[in-house]
Amino acid sequence: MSLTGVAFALFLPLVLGAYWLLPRRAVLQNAVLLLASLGFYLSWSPEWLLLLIFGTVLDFGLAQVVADERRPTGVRRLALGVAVAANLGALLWFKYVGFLTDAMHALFAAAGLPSSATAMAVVLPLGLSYYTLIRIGYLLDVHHRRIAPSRSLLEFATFVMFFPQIIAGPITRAGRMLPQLRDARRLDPTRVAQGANAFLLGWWMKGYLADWIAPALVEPVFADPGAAGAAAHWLALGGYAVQVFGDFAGYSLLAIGVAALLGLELPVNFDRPFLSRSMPEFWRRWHISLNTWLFDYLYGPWVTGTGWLRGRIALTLVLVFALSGLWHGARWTFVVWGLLHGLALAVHHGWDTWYRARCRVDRRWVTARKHAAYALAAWLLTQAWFLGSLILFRAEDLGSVGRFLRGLLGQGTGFPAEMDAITLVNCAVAFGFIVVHHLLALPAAERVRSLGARTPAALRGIFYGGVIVWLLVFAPLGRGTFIYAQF
Amino acid sequence: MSHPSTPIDRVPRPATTWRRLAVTVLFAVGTLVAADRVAWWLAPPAHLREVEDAMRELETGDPTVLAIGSSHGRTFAVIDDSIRARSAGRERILAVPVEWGKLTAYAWVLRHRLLPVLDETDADGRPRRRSLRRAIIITEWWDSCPYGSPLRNLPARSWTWQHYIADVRQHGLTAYNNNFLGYRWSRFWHGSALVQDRGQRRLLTAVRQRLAPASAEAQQANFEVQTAMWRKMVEDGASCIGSAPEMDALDWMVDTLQARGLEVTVLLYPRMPATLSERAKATTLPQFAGLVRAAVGPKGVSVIDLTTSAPLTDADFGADFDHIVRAGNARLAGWALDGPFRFLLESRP
Repeated sequence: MSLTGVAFALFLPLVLGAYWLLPRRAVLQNAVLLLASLGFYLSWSPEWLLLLIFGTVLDFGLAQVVADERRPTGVRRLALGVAVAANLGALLWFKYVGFLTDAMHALFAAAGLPSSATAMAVVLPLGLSYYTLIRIGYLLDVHHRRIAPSRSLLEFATFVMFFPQIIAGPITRAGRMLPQLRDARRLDPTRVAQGANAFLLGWWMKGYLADWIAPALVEPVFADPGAAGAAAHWLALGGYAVQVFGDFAGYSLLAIGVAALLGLELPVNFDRPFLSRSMPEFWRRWHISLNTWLFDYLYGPWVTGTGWLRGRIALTLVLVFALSGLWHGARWTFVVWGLLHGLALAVHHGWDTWYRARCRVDRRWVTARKHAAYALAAWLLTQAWFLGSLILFRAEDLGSVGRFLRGLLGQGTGFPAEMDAITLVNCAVAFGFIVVHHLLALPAAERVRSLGARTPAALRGIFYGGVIVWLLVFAPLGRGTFIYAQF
Repeated sequence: MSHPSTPIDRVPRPATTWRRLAVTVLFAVGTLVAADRVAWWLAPPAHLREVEDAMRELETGDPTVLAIGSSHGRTFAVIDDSIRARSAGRERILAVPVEWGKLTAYAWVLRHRLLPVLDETDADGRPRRRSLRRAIIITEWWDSCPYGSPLRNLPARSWTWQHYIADVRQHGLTAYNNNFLGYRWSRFWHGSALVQDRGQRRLLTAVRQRLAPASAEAQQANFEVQTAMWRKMVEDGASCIGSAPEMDALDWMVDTLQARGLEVTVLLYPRMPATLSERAKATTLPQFAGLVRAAVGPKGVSVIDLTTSAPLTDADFGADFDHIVRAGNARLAGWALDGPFRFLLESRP
């Protein structure tokens, strides 16, 4: 069931009712959450529920061994190795076996050698990419003594399978979630208000923005790249940026909102990424939970560890982002997309190091960096790089990337479909919302923000009512799929 | 890098109280209700007869004629009013409209919804509904073309909760069975014009009509675009008519109804004159009529072809160029009961 669908509109009140009406004890609340999560997962992917349960129980058990200081170090390391290998093994098998066999086949064919590798099509269990990272993060945190292992299977399973986040994140950390699940949750009006607010904003971004833009501007052009005119291609690319942001940031807000209604706090996943003026800043604002995971568990240990990558910042950045690309999907377009971003981060690192050296010698370099022209150029470069990389993110294969690029340069003509006035208005609203949403986060908008925060309850209610009316009139029917749920 | 712990919204808000929250909700609901009233005034939702309405009537009644078809079947609800008046209630038509249905969908409704009720018996083992003597299958060329997508209106308009639960148990929650839930959700909010307008755009059309009514030229241009689209669609139909699953469904329905002793008639539904080109009249339409006659003629089923012969003008059809408006249906009912459907008023020999 989709978080914006009718089934969820029936499911959520039932869960909230059971959750808050039962005696407020942690064990009961966790039991309700676990049952709800099992039901939620069952509704999506019943055939893979056992895999999820088995992996959860295995990780719970092995984490006890990892944390048990009475056991020899070798045994504890072995337990960690087995648990991480089991998680990665499942991810590799389900997500990459087809990709790897295809690649092997192509490699053999290129070398003129006969290949017995047959293409394998394995169905990806829903949420595997997300819960694998959540569980590995937990195991590593226990191993490094950052957290104590959970002593309750109920609590641990509730954390891993928590239904708002299991399909597409945010990728939560045990250190943040387990303490919340350990104590009974109390109904708090501020949190309820925040939850409802986040849920409505998420619905707006996913159910309206993303779902309007996609069929109107994006899909018709990407369906036949290069055929339409340059304007259609540029609009499709800009539209896709809005779509993917609305889709994923919207999903994250829906998950955060539902969690808040249950008295739990999930991490923020997006923080106005289109304000970024450098790629590192961009990745601190976009899919934050994935990137902090990659930096905390891969980049950090590799660069500061004792291995060959120690101190090799640029190379590690490229490597980590290539893996990030691969995590998004078993396709060469994603790998190249990741490599491009790793490269951008490495180049930025080099530039930053060089520039800082200049600044130490001559203060005029510091002044130049604070100049509006520098900020504008940095912003343009960052956003253009991200926008350009989205072609790889959206395209089915590298061939269509080339065709789309030629389309951007004006190879084709016209628009693939005529747009009526309503579509035009809604596309304008979608773009306008993204601009306002970002501008409101600027320091210059402080007064507007505080005015919004002090708005009387009645006016706030009228505003929310108006938003719901707008959604009822304009949000399209029947598009419940989330882009990031496919990863 | 530390884990982000920014609040949900970057804007720091003062702590909310339950009272403030209640006021917010109250005003939000008030806004919704007010907007809904305005929507009612602009574009009141029309209640359309559905399979569910027919089932309710069947469960409490005893019709003499069963008429099943797509949304076009609603015409027979109007004919029912006329025939009841003319026969002093002796003849009663049960109109079963399966919205956006085709022959396979009608067969599903017949098999899973109608027959279990029609075959009910009393304590002595005698049929509880003994008056049913005739059946009319309402169809047109489109019904015999294969569905390009799953029959998503079947779960929406024809399933019961039992069918839904059985499907969920077998396949889990799917986009297909979600149509049932979506439709039930919409029916639950039948008092809301805003909910009923979802996906219809009647409200936006009404607003546009009030703010900037279309000029006569614009209306004429729209008429020409629409008719051209319809003409092409009907002409193209020649390449898809007669698909095996749909024709098999027609065959099965005729056999099933005849096996229950019913006199079966197939009606080829009238079309808006402007939407039919000479080419369509020479290809798709006669070819489809020929297919139907070949399929059901040998079984003794009469075929009434009103595609082009009903005395309807373009003005008798609605803005969708597909459905007959109420006045048109009333005119058609009067004409049909004096003409090709006169036999409905006669006792079956």
